[in-house]
Amino acid sequence: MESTRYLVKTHLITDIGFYKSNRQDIPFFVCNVSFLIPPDNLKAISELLYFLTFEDKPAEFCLTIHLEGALNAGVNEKWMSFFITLLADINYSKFRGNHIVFIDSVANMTETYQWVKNLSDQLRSLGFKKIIFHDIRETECEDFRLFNIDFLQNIDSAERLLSESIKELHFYFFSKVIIHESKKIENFINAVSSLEERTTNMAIQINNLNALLANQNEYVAYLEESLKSKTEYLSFLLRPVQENSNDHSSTEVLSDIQKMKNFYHYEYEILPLWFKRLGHIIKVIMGKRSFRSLFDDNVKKYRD
Amino acid sequence: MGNNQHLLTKDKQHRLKEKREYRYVVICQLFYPDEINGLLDVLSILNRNETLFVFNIGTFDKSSVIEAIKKRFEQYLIYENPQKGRDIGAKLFLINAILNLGITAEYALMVHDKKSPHLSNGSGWRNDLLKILEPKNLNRVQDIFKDPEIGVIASLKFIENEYDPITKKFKCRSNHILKHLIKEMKWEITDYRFVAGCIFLIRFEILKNSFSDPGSKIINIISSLEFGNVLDFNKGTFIHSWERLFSWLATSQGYRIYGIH
Repeated sequence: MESTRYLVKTHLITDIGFYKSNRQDIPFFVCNVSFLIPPDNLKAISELLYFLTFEDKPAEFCLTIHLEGALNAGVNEKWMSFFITLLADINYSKFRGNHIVFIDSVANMTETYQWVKNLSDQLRSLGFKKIIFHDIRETECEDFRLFNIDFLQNIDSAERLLSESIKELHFYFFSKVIIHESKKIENFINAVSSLEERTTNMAIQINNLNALLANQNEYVAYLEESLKSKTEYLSFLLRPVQENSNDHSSTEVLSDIQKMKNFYHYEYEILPLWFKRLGHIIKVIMGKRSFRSLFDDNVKKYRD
Repeated sequence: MGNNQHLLTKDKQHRLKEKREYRYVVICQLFYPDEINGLLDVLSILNRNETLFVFNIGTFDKSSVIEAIKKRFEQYLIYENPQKGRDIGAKLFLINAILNLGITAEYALMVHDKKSPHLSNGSGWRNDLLKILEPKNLNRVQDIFKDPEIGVIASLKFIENEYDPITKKFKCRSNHILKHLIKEMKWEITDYRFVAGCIFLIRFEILKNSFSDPGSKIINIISSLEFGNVLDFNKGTFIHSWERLFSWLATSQGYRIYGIH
């Protein structure tokens, strides 16, 4: 079957950051799948979307775009509509809140860069502002470490990887082996799992803290957005209003809130302080305010 | 899957019907943390085998929202599309996902956790808009839709018309954008009524006909929408325009909007 080609030919990404994803038999690793998709191939990407929606879904997954041959400068819009549906899946892998898309390119470097830039620009216009594109042929990345597991076979390399993870906080490794037949990855995970308890506990703690940090960052972003929205709304309320008197002209008038604000300013705020204080004493004499409230902020101020 | 079977996890609750055909598909945007549970409770009335719930979560505390959805509904899809175009962008994204997945239904409920924090009667708005989900009204839906001319059912209170046939202008700040979009969509509309608040029931085939090639059209519309909580500053916005155009998807195809008390 055509679909099998794309679903089987995957990279396996193992991420230390998802310990809690109900993997009791593997102490702190969950294997996440990165599905390989070619650009502009609607059949492949639509079949992957059906597979993930109706048949099976990994706890985490991400996408690896396989680029080869001559690339069209633009990204097919129909393909893009499937691509954003996959990106918006709640199980899509993210690094500190940012989507991760791996690029596996055998195409010309300039073309690859241009294609990825076009994709990135289009995604930004659709609201996906934070996406990490990473070339899997490069192991170094600003955000995380990427290791090719094909070369890691024994416990020594596993131990080295784990100590790296503690330093780097986050890493991925991948293999080009076919997931269904991979013994090597399972052996490797078992090797890492059998490492010294204290080391593994440290890794777990770091991962938990990372998860907490990601959560807090999301909350901060929400608060920032909320504050920005309120500030904008306030400036909207206080803006002068354009009123169309007829089809051809408009006059600028003050909004009701601005009028109220001006009224408060001119009728009260500009009065001298001694006058305002005297006003409060008059309120006490008239029985509208309690005497104690003049000296104590914790008592009831006004009589109902 | 051989030896690596354990590497993949299945969310059994998530399994959807093979046939992908439903009576109702609920297209819902969730954004305000304090409004979400209340809205999910209201939507529970549609939680039957014949309903598919499709959510977009825009809030920060996603895991608790996902749990709340899993607890209440049997068949659902959940996405977290970025906040582009407020509820309008989210609804368009969800329609795109549904059509791309080949899902069909008889009716679609367009809904979101409407909140107008600046209005003293902000919650009242939401309650009135959700009147279509009151049991007595929901029972009438099938009968009302028996009339083939009716394409949309909404709360009567929110069916508005801003079009002035004398000046041929819309009495709103988005007039020029609306005119531009109608021209672009090549619509000939005679009924310019729309559902303010964008919460209504619509025949699914209207959505299907409107976005028969969902990819390119919807992608372009979402791209045109504004970011964040938009205020139009007298210039009009694509978001506010599409709030109106959603109803005109139906009236441009010759359907009518039915208002219920």
